[in-house]
Formats: sequence, structure tokens, C-alpha cells
Amino acid sequence: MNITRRNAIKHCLMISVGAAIVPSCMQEKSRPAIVYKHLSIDGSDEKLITEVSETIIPVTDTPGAKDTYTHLFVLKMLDDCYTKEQQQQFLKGMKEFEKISQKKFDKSFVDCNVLQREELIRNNINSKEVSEDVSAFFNIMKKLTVQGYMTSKYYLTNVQVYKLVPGKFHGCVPVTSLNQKGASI
Amino acid sequence: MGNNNNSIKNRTFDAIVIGAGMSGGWAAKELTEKGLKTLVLERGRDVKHLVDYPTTNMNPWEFEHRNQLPVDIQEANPIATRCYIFKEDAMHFVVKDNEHPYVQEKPFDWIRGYQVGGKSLLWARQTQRWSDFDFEGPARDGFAVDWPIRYKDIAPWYSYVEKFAGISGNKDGLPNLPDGEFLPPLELSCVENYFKDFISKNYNDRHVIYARCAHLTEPQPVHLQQGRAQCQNRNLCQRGCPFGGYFSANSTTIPWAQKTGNMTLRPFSVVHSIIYDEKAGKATGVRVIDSKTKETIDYYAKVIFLNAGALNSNLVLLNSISHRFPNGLGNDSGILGKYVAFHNYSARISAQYDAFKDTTTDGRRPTSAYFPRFRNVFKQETGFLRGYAAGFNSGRSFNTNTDGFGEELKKNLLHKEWGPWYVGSHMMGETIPKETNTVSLNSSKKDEWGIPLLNINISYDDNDAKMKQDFFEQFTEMYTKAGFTDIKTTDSKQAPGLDIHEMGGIRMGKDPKTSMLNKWNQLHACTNVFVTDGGCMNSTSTQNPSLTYMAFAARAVDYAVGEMKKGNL
Repeated sequence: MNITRRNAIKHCLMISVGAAIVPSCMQEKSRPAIVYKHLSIDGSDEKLITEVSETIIPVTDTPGAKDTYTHLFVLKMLDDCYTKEQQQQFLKGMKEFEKISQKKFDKSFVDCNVLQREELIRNNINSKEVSEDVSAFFNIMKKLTVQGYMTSKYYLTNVQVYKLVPGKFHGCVPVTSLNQKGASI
Repeated sequence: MGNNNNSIKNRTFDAIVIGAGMSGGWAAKELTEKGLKTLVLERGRDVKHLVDYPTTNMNPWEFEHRNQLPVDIQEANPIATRCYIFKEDAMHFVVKDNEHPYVQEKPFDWIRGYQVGGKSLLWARQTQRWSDFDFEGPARDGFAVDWPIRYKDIAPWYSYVEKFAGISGNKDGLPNLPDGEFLPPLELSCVENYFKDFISKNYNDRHVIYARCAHLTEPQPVHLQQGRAQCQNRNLCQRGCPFGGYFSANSTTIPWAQKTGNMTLRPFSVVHSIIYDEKAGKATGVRVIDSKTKETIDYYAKVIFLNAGALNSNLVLLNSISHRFPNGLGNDSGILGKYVAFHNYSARISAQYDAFKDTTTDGRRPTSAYFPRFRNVFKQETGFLRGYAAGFNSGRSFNTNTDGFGEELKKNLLHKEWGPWYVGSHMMGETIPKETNTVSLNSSKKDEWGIPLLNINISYDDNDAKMKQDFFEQFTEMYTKAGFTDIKTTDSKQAPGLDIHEMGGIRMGKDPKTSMLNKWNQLHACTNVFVTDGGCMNSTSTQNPSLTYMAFAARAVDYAVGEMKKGNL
């Protein structure tokens, strides 16, 4: 389920609110693709969050964060479900992390290759050396990415099947009667 | 003014019901079925069954915040946010903090549902009958006043409402929790059955049963006639049910009343007061303020059913001032607004059970097991009055390993491993009504319709604290003996109100000097006004109260219509 260019554009159109914003999808920088109510970020911040999310849950032979629209969930939650203080700390941590990337590889995280991205995350995600802000950035990124992925349509229709209408309730069944997909939640 | 635009005739009905929720829906159904032209007033908007359930068929991933609340909504609604129902999928059915403010003289979370259906859309659907151990409680233990009725008076009405609403249950033969008209129960889990057997083997007077609940496990012709279908175990009831699988006024009583052709439903109608005619010596109607236009309109009827929800019914009576009743309609005794009580839901216990590893449950169940009250039932035996019931729930889920990132994390998230069984119970404690637990009218602050705000002055007492301690001790002991591990007790320290079982203030009793209502839920001093919601409760016992309100409503309508026929009303 790799994202093709056509899908990416379609996707971008889907998430855009209003035609005026559409061109920003094709641009490299600055204008965000989504309209935010509270968060003040630009297109490159958006991209950084998206790529960190994708590095936390990458596409393999199964969909990753971007394929499951998890990055959009992350952005939505950041915008609406965190306090101003939490948002500010997150953004401070994000900027600091970006500096770490510049220092280490002389380029932005989003311009790094997969191995470099993994190295940056590995070295910083649970590190005691980094600032509280960087820790907060990673805690929120990981929490939201995992939550978004595990509540995505992909996960709840392929991995752990959610049934809107279960019909029957069985009080006591052998676990072996339920393969992992069949264990309805 | 609406009073001038319409003739009095157009504003005159046989009966008026104030409130289209749990008990008002029943009053409406019964009155209209008996042929009375009935005006049903609802302060909120209409919520039509099936039509007005916007989230009901949404999958989890379709909620943009995955059912969490945005921070600005939480910050604007600290009270509503404490309620478990106030989530992305059902927050449109819960009153926002600024919609109808009140004055907390002591902390009280007043959770309300202002719409047709009221809180019946949102309730936990538990329907346990009272027994004489409950009705005789105040007289035996010396608090409140003696109930003017006994179980035999209400038992046929329990049956009546159970058959129509559809109650799932098991005939357990317990004297303190009488059996009803039951549709088949859903299954208990292996762990619940284990605990049930364990308790019955080790304790003479304690039982674990299937919780009786208002779900159609096997719809009968009357339910199909209502347009309802079998419960599909979605356990998403708070969104409104597309199957009508549980009882709500929206799915059941209101459409039924509508079908008679005798109901006029008027949403957006905030009741200001009940109009009292000094000469006639009775109520003649209801003064309404249209919540949209702020217009004042009077409606008239021979009989009035007040079902605004316990505290709002107090508010309506307190605000119904006349020369004859300067302290609120029917309030000769000064009792109105006093002896308010609730249920103590502030204690929980949870644990794990390291057995039955080869089994689990499949699907979702909209109810649980139930642990009926066992303290002080047959005689007083502890250092506190009365007792508590408890839920008992169990289940099993996957352990989620969120270690690492990248491919390792993904592998962890895709690999499912069953966690242990968890078990849990929550306390449902009876609180003792006290004269000092009150609601009253604020002397200066008014709402946007010019009605005084309600002061709420309600708190826990020492008896509640002792009872909670006992719950922790007894359940820790039973859980331990049963072999449960990792036992954790939680004192939520929540304010009264969050139980959403506020009751009293307009209590029933034999003596007009110490009570507001007689044994027919009729105001002693103004006999064409009936109160059959939580306001009428003289004591609270431990059972979830809605079923009892429904039975009171049906019974009171039957009496009222009989009295009207005899010319007594």
C-alpha cells in the first residue's frame, strides 16, 4: 500500500479545507496544508511531524503512519487536545530536535535518509541527555502515533477487527476459537 | 405575547406533562393512551428516534479526536467533563456548563440532558426492583419518614412497565431484589460465573447475579409494535440506538404517545412555574418561557404531571409562588427542597485473575453482573446505616507492547498477546436524606429566562465514609479469598451529583406536615399536581432508580385518570 504520487495528491486534496489552500500541497514549504485552530505551525513543521510519525511507525510490507492517515490524527490532536503550554513545549522540543539534526547531519530531519532519521530518533527518543522539551516532543509524538495507528481504519479492520454491530455476546469462549482478527472489540 | 396570539382554548389541554424524559415519557404515554389530550413540555430540543442520532453509526476512526474531548470544550465545561458520557460521541446530549448555571454552595456535579428523551438516552439501563427491605428502611432505621407505600403497592406497576420497556434478567429468587418480568439474560463470563459460585459457597447472604437491564434480548410483540428490534450488543447506547435495542423515551414512550394522536409535544419550553388558582384551590396550568423567543406563554390543564428531573422539579415548585403558597407550590410544611439525597458512587475496586487463561469473551455486552446489597438487609449489623450494592464486571484484552520505534514497534503492535482477566466493582451506596442537604432558589442570580438559579447544598456525611470503608474492606476480602490479585481500591473523591441519581426534596409520606406528596405522588396541598420523577423519593436505597420512577409514573396516571372520572380532580 505504498503511496503513489496520485494518491498523495488525492490525499492532500482530501485534507485541504478550501480551494485556496490546495496549491500549498504542491509547495515545498511554509504554508500548512491544514487549517489549525490553535497550533501555529508552518508547512515545514507539518512535514517534520509527518515524517517523525512515519519513522515511528514506518511503512513495511504493511501500511505505516502516513498510509493510515495517522499523521493527520497527530496534527489534529496536537491542535485541539493539548493545552497551550503543552503545545508550546512540544514546538520548542521540535525546533530543538531540528537543530540536533542540523548539527548531526547538516540538514533538516525531513531531508535525511531513512537510516539517518532512524539514528536521530534512536539517539533522542528515550535519551536522558536531551532537554525536557525534546522529551515532551517525543512523548507526544509517540503516544499520538501509536494511538492514531491503533485506532486507524486499517488497524481496526485488519489487525484487531472492530465490529460496529457485534450481534452476539459470548461470555466464555476458548481463546483459540478467536484468531487475532476475529477477537472483536 | 403568545397569550394574546392564541386563544385560551388552543392552549388548554386535559393534561400537561413537564419534561419528556424517563418518567415524563411514561406519564405522556399513559395519559395519551387513556384518551387525554396531553401537552408535553420539554425545555430542550426534540431528539427524534433514529433521525437525531448523528454519531450512532460511526466507527472509532471516524471521530476526529477518537472520542476524546478537545481542550477548549473541557475548559469551558469542567462539570460536564467529569461525566463519563461527555465524550465526542455523545456530548451533544449533555447540558454544557453555561447553558443552565446553578450555584454550588457545596461541590455538586449536576449532570443533565435537556432534550426530548432527557437522560433516558444516556442512562446505564440498570433496572433493579426495590423490595420491602428498601421501602421499610426509613421506618426501621429511623431516618426520613416512613414510605406511604410498600412493595405490594408498586409490584404490579413494576410488572407493567417492565413488560413494555423490555427488561432482561434472571429469576434469582432473592427476597431483597424481587424478580420481575424478564426477557432472557445475556451470558456471564467464566470469571463472573466463577465468582458467583465462589460467593454462594462461602457466604450465606451474598449473591452475584446478572444485572437486570433494559435491553431487548428477545423482543416480544409489543416491542416490535414499538418499532424496536433485538439488542445487538453494540454497547454504544449513549449515541442513541439504531435498533431501539434499549429502552429510552425516544425509542419507546414518546413515539407511542405520539401515535395515539393525543400528544402535543412542545420543545424549547422552559417551565417558569405552575399556575395556582387561589379561588379554585388547585393548579390551572403551567407558565412557559419559549427558550428561543423568550416569550411567556400560559398553558392550561386539569391535571399536571411534574417530571422535570429531580432537582428541576424542585426548582419549578419553589418558583411557583402564590398568595396561598408563598414558599413554593404545595410547600405548607417547609419540607420542599430539603432531604435531598443521592447515591455514593465514589468507590471502586479492580483486580486481576490469573486463571481461565484459555478462555475469553467474544463481543461486547451492554451490562454486567450485579452484587445486591448484603449489609444491614435483614437487621442492623454494622456501625453505619443501610448498605451498598455493587457492579461486578470482568473481561480480557490484549496486552499492548509499545516499546521501541520503527519496525520493532510495529512488530510489537501487530503481535497480539492476551492479557490476564481483569475484574472490577463499583460501589452503589445508599445515602441518608438529611434536612441540611437542600436545594433552594438563589435570591439574586437569575438565568436567561428570568428564573432564579438553583442553590445546591449537598454533601456526604460520616455514614457515607464508614460505608465506603466497609465496601473497600469487604470487597478486598472477597476478592482476596477468591484468588484475585493486584487488587487496587480507588476513592474517586467525586462530588455528589456525578452518580446522576439525585433524589428527593419533594418526598412522599403519609403526613402532610412532613412530606410533600401522598402515596399517589400527588401534592398533599394541591391535588391535581403529581410528581413522579426522582424528586418524590423519600429514601434512595441502592438500586438504580429509573425503573421505580417509571412505575410511579404509570401508577400515578392510572390513579389520576380514575379520580378525574370520579370528578375528584
